[in-house]
Amino acid sequence: MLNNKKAEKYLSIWWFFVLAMIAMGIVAGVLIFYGADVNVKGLEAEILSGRLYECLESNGFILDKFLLNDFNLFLQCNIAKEVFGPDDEYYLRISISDISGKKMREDIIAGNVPYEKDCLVEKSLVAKNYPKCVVSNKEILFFDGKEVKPVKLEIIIASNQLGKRGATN
Amino acid sequence: MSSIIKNKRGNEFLPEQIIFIVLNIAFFVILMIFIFKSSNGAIIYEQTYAKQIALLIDRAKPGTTLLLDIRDGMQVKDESKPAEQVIKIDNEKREVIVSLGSSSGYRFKYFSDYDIEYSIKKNYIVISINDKKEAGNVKQ
Repeated sequence: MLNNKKAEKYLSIWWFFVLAMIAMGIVAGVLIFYGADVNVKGLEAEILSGRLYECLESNGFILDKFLLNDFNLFLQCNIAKEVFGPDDEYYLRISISDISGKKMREDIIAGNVPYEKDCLVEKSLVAKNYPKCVVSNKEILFFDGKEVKPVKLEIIIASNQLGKRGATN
Repeated sequence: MSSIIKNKRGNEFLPEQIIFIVLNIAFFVILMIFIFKSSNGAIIYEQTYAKQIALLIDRAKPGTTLLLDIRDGMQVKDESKPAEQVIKIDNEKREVIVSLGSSSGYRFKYFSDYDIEYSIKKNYIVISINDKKEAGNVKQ
């Protein structure tokens, strides 16, 4: 049989309390570390931006159809319109202007519009839940039937997709 | 026998001391097992594969076939789960769902409007990316 006094010295409730606290700390740390989301928002925005440039440019020239008002960006570029709803996790804006800055057509805007302002915030501080943005400008060529002119194509992309665990709603 | 188990002063170890040491060792062994299992666990592979596949689909061009090694995930998956149910690519919702354990898994969306076919062959997933087949969706 165990000596009660000695047993108390080694197997006291306080010792088990200390062990429990250590265990809880380690378990919490491990779960937080391994359960953390890997942020690929920036990468996703870059991929979408690249896809749009590839789609709208042909041999250094802007796609003629792009200047038409009925141009269907989603169909042309194989992008799912359904994921660009006002409450979804993506945003895009494409604008084209001549060298003087005059717009050549109405901007194409789709997705969660407030993200464009959120991007400005995200630039100046670390905000985990804010979208990551890619803003890029490219000078490409445009043939107006008479001469070749340089035009400026600007694409703004924002992604705020972190991924989800669990079943869909 | 009792003379073999002695402490620094040459005194015999008490049963309380032995229980104390055994319990402490058991505690740290359990913690180490937990940490090891967490670092090699399904939770990490689910997220990794879902994001990797979604980004690969978005970066790919129609006509591409992707072959992705998912060996590590297959080794830690729930044994009762058939290999075909580990990864699902939902063409309607445009989502990649990876579930290695008993839970409903991890889901990540892709933005591409492609027709995606996939199959899991042993330790690989083969993904074929094609243009949408619908007649009304043909580019002019």
